[in-house]
Amino acid sequence: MSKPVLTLFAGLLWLALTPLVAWSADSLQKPYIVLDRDLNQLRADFNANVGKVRMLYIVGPTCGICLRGLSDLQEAIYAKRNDDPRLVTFVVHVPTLGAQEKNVAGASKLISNTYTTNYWEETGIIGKLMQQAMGAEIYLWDFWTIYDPQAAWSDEHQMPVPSFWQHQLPRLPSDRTLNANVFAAQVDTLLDRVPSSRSTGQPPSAAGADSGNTKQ
Amino acid sequence: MSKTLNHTLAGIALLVLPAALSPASGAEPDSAVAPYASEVPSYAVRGDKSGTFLDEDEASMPIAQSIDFIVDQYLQQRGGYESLKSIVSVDYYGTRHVGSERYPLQRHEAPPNRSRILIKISESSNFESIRSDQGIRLEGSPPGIGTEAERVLLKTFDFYGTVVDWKMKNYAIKRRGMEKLPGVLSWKLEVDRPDGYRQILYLDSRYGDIVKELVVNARGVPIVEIARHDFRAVEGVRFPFAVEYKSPTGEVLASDRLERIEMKRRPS
Repeated sequence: MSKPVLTLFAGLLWLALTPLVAWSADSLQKPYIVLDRDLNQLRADFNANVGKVRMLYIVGPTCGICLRGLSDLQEAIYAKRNDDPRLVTFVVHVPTLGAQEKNVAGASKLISNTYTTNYWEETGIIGKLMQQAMGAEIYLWDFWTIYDPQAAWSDEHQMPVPSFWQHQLPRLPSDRTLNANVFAAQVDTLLDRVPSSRSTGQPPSAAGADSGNTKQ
Repeated sequence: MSKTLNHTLAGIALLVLPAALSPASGAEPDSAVAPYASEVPSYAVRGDKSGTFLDEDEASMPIAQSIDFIVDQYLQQRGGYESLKSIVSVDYYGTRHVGSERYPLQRHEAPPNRSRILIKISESSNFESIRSDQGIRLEGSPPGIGTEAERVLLKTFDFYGTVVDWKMKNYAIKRRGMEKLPGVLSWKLEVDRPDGYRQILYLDSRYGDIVKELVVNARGVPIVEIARHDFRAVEGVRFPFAVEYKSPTGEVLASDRLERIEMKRRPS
């Protein structure tokens, strides 16, 4: 092969690989996963962890009340449980109160746990799907749920109904306001149904995504 | 076209194709079908939960909640504005700890911003600091804290609290997002006062308590840090029963442990 062709080949090789390297580095740096509108990655992660107690939180990363909820649950659950693989958490950040993707990384640090994955969902459709699943009159965010180990998310257009939920919204029952201690007690109750094998755990993002999870 | 060139072009095609299909090759993933906040009702995009604007600065966790929201929470946890304004004096009784030394401490506070601290150093000597309508007076050397920091604490003393009536006092407050302190997620506020002092306040986002405060002088030099713990309600108002004073480098200078707090209110 002539020298000019080799040079051209090398140049094109560099051009072709640069985006892949950039994308890979970007994925490694982000402490969250960007979801598509169909929530495919979240659904895959949810279903990959059937058999475990799963928590799903819908939060706004610039909503101080939501951040306080994450912090409270960190103290009430995660700081005490020490990376229990039977307990898997999905934190979905939505664009409420002007939140942008750039706000997710800071908020993702509030829960420190190997089996917790943070997501950025830019359309906010998850709040609408949860509203439909719950039969609620309002859009659901700042919404905190627990799913029992048997729950599966089979229909992509319909979220499963959680076995327990709390909220911090003005127009839902006040006796369901997020209380981290009550929430943690519900988690404990469900965990009693799951064998305490330490070998079953895998971070939820391992179910299909090659993006990083939230472990800081 | 030569065979060599054909192979080269085929190789290029194989190399370029994956790059063209990679997530980084386009703009935002699904940007055409997933517009920002398209599924969020307008009331939740902005303006809900008293949140209107985000912090202007590069806070690590910027927030949408307004300063008024945070101040209101502080007031509610102290029994409400009218209840707070009905307090005419507070007396504190406890002990100042400086290293292994202990000194009996009494403090009397009254509106508008009067304060008298009496610390018994020995059988025959006391430290006394007074802030009155006539100004500030120190007698003796304050155990642990130092005269400069003690003066600054007296100058910046607010009987009802820094954030109460902040607009009337011509204080300028900026939000600085949220910050996680040990076990507490706090609202962080920066208060610029007309006297040139600046206070960085950390308010417990659950209870509104000012759990940490940094006082900075007019030249931007940090003077003293105050950490407050062990909050308990006294007649509906939360008070810290443990207060630590630290140097700007974090060294604990002194800590006050209160045993009793007495409050007097205006007759209703």
